[in-house]
Amino acid sequence: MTGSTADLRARRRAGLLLAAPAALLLALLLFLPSSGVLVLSLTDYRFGMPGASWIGLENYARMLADDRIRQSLGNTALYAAIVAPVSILLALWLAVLIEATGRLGGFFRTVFFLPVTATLVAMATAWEVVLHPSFGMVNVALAASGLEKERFLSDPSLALYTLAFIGVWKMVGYNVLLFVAGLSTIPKDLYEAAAIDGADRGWSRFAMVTWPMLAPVTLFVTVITLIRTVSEFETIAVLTNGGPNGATEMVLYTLYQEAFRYFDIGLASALAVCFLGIVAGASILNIVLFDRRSRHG
Amino acid sequence: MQGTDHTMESQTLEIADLTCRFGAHRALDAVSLSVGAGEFVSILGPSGCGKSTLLRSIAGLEAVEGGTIRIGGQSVDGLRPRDRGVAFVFQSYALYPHMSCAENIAAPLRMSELGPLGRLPLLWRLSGRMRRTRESIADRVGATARQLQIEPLLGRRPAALSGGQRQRVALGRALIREPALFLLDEPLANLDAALRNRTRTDLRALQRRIGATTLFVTHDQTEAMAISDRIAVMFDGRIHQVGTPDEIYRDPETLAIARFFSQPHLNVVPAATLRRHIGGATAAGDIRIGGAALEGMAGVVAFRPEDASIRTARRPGLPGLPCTVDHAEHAGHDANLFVRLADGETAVVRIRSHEIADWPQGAEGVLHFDLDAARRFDAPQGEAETPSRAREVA
Ligand SMILES: Nc1ncnc2c1ncn2[C@@H]1O[C@H](COP(=O)(O)OP(=O)(O)OP(=O)(O)O)[C@@H](O)[C@H]1O
Ligand SMILES: [Mg+2]
Repeated sequence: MTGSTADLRARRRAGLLLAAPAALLLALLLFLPSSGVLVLSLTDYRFGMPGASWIGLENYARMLADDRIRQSLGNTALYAAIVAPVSILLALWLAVLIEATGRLGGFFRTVFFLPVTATLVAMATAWEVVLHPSFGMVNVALAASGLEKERFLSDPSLALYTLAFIGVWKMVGYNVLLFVAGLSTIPKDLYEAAAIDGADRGWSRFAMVTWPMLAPVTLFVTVITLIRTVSEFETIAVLTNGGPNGATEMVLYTLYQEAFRYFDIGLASALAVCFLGIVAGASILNIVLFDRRSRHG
Repeated sequence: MQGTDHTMESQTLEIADLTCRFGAHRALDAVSLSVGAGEFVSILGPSGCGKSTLLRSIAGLEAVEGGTIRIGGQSVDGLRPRDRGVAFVFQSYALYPHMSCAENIAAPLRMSELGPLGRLPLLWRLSGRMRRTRESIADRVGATARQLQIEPLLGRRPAALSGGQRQRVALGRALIREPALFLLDEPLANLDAALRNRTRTDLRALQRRIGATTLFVTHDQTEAMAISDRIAVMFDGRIHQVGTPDEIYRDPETLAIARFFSQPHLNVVPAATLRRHIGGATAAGDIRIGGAALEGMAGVVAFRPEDASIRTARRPGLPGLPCTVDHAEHAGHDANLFVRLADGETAVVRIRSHEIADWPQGAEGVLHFDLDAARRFDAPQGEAETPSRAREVA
C-alpha cells in the first residue's frame, strides 16, 4: 500500500509540475489584471491624478445612475436580442440548405466564411460606402425605386438597427460554419431510419433528427454569439462613434470612452467588472449545460 | 392490442432484374429473387457483394436503375420508404440517441398515427382523439417490449444499453409497425459469439411466431444455414444460387459457392491431375465423380476435408493420392491435417484430434476421399495451370 501512496504522490507532483506553467500564465494574464480591475473599480482613481482613495461601491452607484451608461446597457441588450437570435436561426437555416445542396457546399462555405476572415475595419469601411446618405449604393437603389433616402448611420431611430444588420452579417458566417460542421457529424443512417419511420423530409425530418442531434452545437453557438454580440466594438468605433446622440453606444465602447477619453478609470473598471460578470456567467452556464448533457445524454 | 404477440399479414416479395449502379460500379446486376409469404430468406455473400444495397433498394433508400420490386403483388416503384410497409433493422441499429427506448420504439407509430400537432408536447392533451391515440401507442410499445423482454429498459437512452439490448430495441422499433416485410441488415454482426448464437435462435423463433416475411443479410454461412428457410448466395452484385441450406451445402452450383460453404478449407484438384494419380477406372469399374466419369473429365474436382481421410498404406481397390504430412491444426474435437501431394501442392484432411500424434511432419501416407461427396466444377479463370491446392476462403 505504501508503494502505491508514494506512487500517487509522485504522480501528483508530476501533474502539478506540468500544470504549473499554464496556471502561472493564467494567473499572470487573466486573474492578475482582473483583480486589478476589481480593486480599481472600488477607488476614484483617474489617469494623471496623483493617488486614489477608497470609495467602496460608489462607482457602481454612479454607473447605475448615469443616463448615458444606462442607455448604453439598454442598447447592448437590444442589439444582442436582435443579432443573436437572427444570426443563429438564419445560420441554421442556411446550413441546412447548404447541406442539402451537397455539391455547391464548398462554394457556399467560402462565401459565408468571408466576413469571418476579412479584416473587420476594412469591411466596416465598405459598409460605410454602401450605406452613405447621398451616394451609398443602398440609397441610390432606394431613390431609383422612388423611395426616400435614409440616413442609416446618423438617424437616431435607425442607427442601432443598421448596426444590428451589420452585426448579423458579421456573425452569420461563423455560425453557419459551426452548424455545417455539426450537421456533417449526424450519422446518415439516422436519416434513413427516420425515412422508414415516416419522417423523410421537411419539418418532420428536421424535428425528428436534425434539431435534436444539433442541440449541443446550438448551445455552443448561442453562448459564443451572445458573448460576441455583447462585446461589439469595432463597428461602433469605425461607423458611428456611439452616435448619433448615444443611440449606438454599447458597453465596451462606453467603457473605452470612460477610460481613455475621460480617464475615469474607477467608473470604467466598474463597467468592466459588470461586463466580465456577464461573459463569465454565459461561459459557466455553457459549461454546466454541456456537462449535464454529456452525463445524461 | 389484445394479445401480446404481433401477428401480421405476411406478404410475398418478388424482385426481377434489379440493377443498381454507383458510378461505373454495378452494385446490383440483374438481381431476381422470389420470397414466399412468411418465408425466412438469408442473403449471404462476402463483404462488398451488394447485400446491403439490395436490402436498401427494397426499402426505397437507394435509387435503382432498372428492374421491379413487388411486395404483396404490388409494385413499389416510386413509393417512399414509409409507404412500402417494410421495416428495416440497420447493422448499426440507428437508434435515435436523444430518445428513450420507449420513444424509439414508438417513433414509427407517432409518425404514422399522430399528426404534426399531436407530436407536439402538451398540445395533444386538448383533444380526446389524440389522447386515445397516444394511449394506444403506449399500449403497443408495452406489448412489444414484453415480447422482446426489454420492459425494464424502456426509460433508458440507447447510450445506456448493451449491444444486445440495443439490438432488441431496434427490433422492437421494426416489429411495432407490423410490417409486411422485415429487412434485417446483419443485425447480429455487433454481438459477441455466444450472444449471437442465442439471439439468432430467438430471432428465428420470433419470426416463426409472427409469421413475417423476412430477408436477413449476413456474411456468415453458418448463421445463414442455421436459421434460413432458403439462402440466396450473392457474389459481385449477382445472385448465384438460391436454395435450402441443405441443397446449397450438398450441391453448390459454382466453385465460389462451394468454397464459401466449406470454410475454412476446400480441396480443389484438377481432374487431369487426379486422373494421372488414380487412373480412370478401378477393378470395380469406371471412377465417377458427381455422376460423371473421371475418364475424359475437364475442370477441377473439389472435396471437403471432412470427406477425405488418410491411411499409412495404399489399399488395393481404393484409389488414393500419395502424400506427405506437413502440419496439423487443432480444432477441438477434430483437427485439420495439411498434407503435400506428390506434385507439391497442399490438401487438407479432417482427422480426429487425438490422431495428431500419429501424423508427425514428414510422415508418408495415402489420401482418400469420398468420390460421391466430391463435385466437379469448371476450372476458374487463371487457375487451370496451378493445380491441386487447399484454399483458405476469406
Ligand atoms: N453510396 C455508395 N457510393 C458508391 N459506392 C457504393 C455506395 N454504397 C455501396 N457502394 C459499393 O457498392 C458495393 C456493394 O456495397 P454493399 O454495402 O451493398 O455491400 P455489402 O454486401 O453490404 O457489404 P458488407 O458485408 O461489407 O456490408 C460495394 O462495392 C460498395 O463499395
Ligand atoms: Mg452491408
